[in-house]
Amino acid sequence: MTATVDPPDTTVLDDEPSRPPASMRARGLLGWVTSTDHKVIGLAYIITAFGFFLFGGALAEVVRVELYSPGTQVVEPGTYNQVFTMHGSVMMYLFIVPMAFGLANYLVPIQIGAKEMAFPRLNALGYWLFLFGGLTMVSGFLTADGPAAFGWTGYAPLSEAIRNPAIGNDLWLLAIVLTGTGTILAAVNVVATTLAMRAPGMSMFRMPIFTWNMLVTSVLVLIAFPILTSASVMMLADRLLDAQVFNVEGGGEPVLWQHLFWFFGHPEVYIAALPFFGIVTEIFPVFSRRPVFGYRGLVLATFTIASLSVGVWAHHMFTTGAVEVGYFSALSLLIAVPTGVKFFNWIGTMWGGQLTFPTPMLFAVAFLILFLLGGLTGVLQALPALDAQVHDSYFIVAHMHYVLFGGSAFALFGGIYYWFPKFTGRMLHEGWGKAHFAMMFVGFNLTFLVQHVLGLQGMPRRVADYLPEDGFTTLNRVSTIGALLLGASVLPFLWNVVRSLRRGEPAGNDPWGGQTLEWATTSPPPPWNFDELPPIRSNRPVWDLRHPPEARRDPVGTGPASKDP
Amino acid sequence: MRPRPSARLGLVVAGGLVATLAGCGSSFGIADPASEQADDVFGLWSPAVIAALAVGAFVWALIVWSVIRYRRRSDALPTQVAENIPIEIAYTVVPILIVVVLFALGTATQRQITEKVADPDATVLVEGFQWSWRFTYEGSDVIVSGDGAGTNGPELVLPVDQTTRLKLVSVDVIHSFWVPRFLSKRDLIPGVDNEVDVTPNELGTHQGRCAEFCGLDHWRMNFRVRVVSAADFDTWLAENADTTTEEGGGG
Amino acid sequence: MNDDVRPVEEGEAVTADAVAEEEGASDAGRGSVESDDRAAWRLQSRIFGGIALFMVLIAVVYWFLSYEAAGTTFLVVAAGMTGLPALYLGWPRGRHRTGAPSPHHEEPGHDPHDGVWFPDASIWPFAIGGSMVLVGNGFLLGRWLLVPALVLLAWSIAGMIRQGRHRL
Repeated sequence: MTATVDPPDTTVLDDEPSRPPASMRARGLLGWVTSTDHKVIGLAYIITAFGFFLFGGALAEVVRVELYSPGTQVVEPGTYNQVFTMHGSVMMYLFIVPMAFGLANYLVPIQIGAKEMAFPRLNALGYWLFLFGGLTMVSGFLTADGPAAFGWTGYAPLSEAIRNPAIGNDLWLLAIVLTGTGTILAAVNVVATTLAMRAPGMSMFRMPIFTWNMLVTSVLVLIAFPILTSASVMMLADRLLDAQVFNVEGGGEPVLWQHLFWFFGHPEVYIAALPFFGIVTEIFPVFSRRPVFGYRGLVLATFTIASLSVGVWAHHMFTTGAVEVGYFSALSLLIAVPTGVKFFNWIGTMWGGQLTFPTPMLFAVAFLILFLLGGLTGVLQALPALDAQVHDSYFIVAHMHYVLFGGSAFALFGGIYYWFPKFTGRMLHEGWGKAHFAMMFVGFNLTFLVQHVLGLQGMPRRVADYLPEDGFTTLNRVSTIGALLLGASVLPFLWNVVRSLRRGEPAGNDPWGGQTLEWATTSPPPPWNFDELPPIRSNRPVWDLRHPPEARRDPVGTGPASKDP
Repeated sequence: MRPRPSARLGLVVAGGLVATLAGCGSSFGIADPASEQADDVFGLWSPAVIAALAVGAFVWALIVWSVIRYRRRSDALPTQVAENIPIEIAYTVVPILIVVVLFALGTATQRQITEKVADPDATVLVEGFQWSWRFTYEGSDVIVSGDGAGTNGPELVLPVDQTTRLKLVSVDVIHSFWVPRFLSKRDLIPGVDNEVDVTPNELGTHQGRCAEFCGLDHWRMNFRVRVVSAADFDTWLAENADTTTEEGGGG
Repeated sequence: MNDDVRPVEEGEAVTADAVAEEEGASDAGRGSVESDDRAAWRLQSRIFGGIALFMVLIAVVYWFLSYEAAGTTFLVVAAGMTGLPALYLGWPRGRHRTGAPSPHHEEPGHDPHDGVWFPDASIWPFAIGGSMVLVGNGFLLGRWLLVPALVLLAWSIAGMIRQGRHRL
């Protein structure tokens, strides 16, 4: 019944009989640079994206320290504007989405029982575009006038050459084109892989939810990213060639940039969320010892979110007075429904279970708590009359960080603790993990909860400073102290990684009692992923392997046997 | 599903949370309304926040409940139930109903606050530029302009209980006219003609801000709104007719 | 009785085990790899097609509500682009598009006879990626960079194609 997989027979596949296996063609740096192994590329994405996360986080600390008090603390307003621009840009373009595709690269083939992604060289190309494109964006810091300064959203006319002439801004736009292309290639690969590379028995509706979410995310990338790259080319044309696309004096329209950007930008935030929904959907069943609740409902909800997300872009433009607010308000309210459905699926997975709380589960539960608040403030913003007060204020800053950090980043850390044993063969230390979690949870809430009130009381966003008489000082100080704690919380995590790589407890194939295929192979997996695949008869083949029908009919040490049909 | 008496405890906790938060002040942190339009917004804000907090309390209670009640007690396999169509339908339909109600209330309020009277009592051309404001009172040719220095900005004088039409125009990049106590803002976009009506109903001076990032001194592109009686307003207009005032220093 | 485990009641919600057994039973009769394959292509075609159709629908609604040209254009173009994979995947075609099925039911890339090839390590992605970035920067920094970068890019693409041809 088991499908056996032989190690790759290279003498048949290529012309030179005595070559070593694919992933070990060269050692060291050259080996890494030429690798087409999805696991190597996936890890490269993850590590690089995490590096950008640390850089973006450092920029955030500069923001918060500057806002500790009225008056200049560490940076002048001109530099401050560059700092928050690059913070947002690095986090959105160089951290969260590449990180998701890094995890997808590593896990999707394994979760579907495949040996490799569908297009290995294209995969590698996507990574190099990400790395070099990202370096291009931050190379603005090395130029005389510094990096981009018009916010991660780059609104025209502020982003026109006459307002922001420095080359750092052009480098930013170029980087968008390059990294965007890389992401598109990664998405193509995920779609093709889930289509063509599934192992026998792995039908579409048996794929793990993480893989499903990456598939839907990839469809969204294919819809949204070309618009962003086009918009960036148009802006570069305006800046370098006087194209007058967005310039009113030349017959252009500034609002067109907003339409272009947000047509990308709203699917983008779901691209930044769905993979991480997928991660927690992997964690909950394992640590509840239950199946995913409402699997089909979850898949349907994911499609619904993706479809609706293409139609709601101008809810970011309610205050322009130039959009049809009723239509966008209705669709934006609707999109809360499938997201809510997912919440009940996650709770339903835990309900009736036997819950344990190692670090991955702590982060997953925290995700539920924090993303809920971000989602609710989002529903309030879907009403234009309310958005008119909170738009472009710190209320929005609070909302976005609750969904992107409290949501996606917390889920990401859950995933890192969950899959680190699989990637490295060693367990992360639980004590340091819990310390990291506690500091991050407290620091995060201290930083962002008070920002809701700051926004409602009248503090705009993207402000380099405020006045003593504004009455914003106390809450800003609370927020800054929280931010310093939040920043410090990365330290136990980094220490944990360094320490565990060397002397972490050996993990074995399946340290957690996993349900999906990655737990059927060694940690880390061999280059060809599986020596032996278990039979695939449901959406949790490893669970089925560990709990054969006889055992299920009569669970250990309890009452009447379950009456299976 | 089997009856869970202890689930009632969760609901009591949820209800208590909502009551406590409501008691914290029905404004839930929002600025005090100072105009008729702001009163309309406030009338939507309070119930919307209460609804959001109620939903939140309910879901948080479910989460906390699961985490406490279903902690691992033994090695026994828990129930492997993976679907329950009636419940799944319920938790899809109920949120749809909630958002439909929200949309109806939201649309009604939106109509109220964007309503424009046929004949405003005053009309002011509001021009935003990097990095201050210019207010031109049409008909009387009074101009008040910010000098771009300091942090107070120019003062927009408005009559209480009367409707002023603001015409919002940008001369360079996108700005946004925001008086937090009016609970609303509108962008100034080159090429877009935005007009809003405001009917202040509280005397005094309120803070105004630019709410769309517009470059170097965006953070201090402030202004003030001074709401005076109708009589004082007419006097002020008469005194300043055909003059241009530059102000804004200090701060 | 341990109230964490209870018997599955008649007509009760479906358990994961029951689904697994059901699917196991039906699998035995099917042609496995191939029909899974066709089902998957059909499903993915419907995914892309469904989203495309939805976008057409909201594009129509949006146009008549707003007469706003930019957003409508984006929706229509995006719907068209999304429809392309739907068409490709859903187009009726013969049985052996993935090559002759191996008697061992090995997945693509394992069976040396299935026509799918996994390239070995390759310098070309690095070379193409690097040269694309240099070309981009060349547009900003000047011809001194742009021209050599374009040459490098052409050479890298050629190398990638050559590798595919010779399977080296």
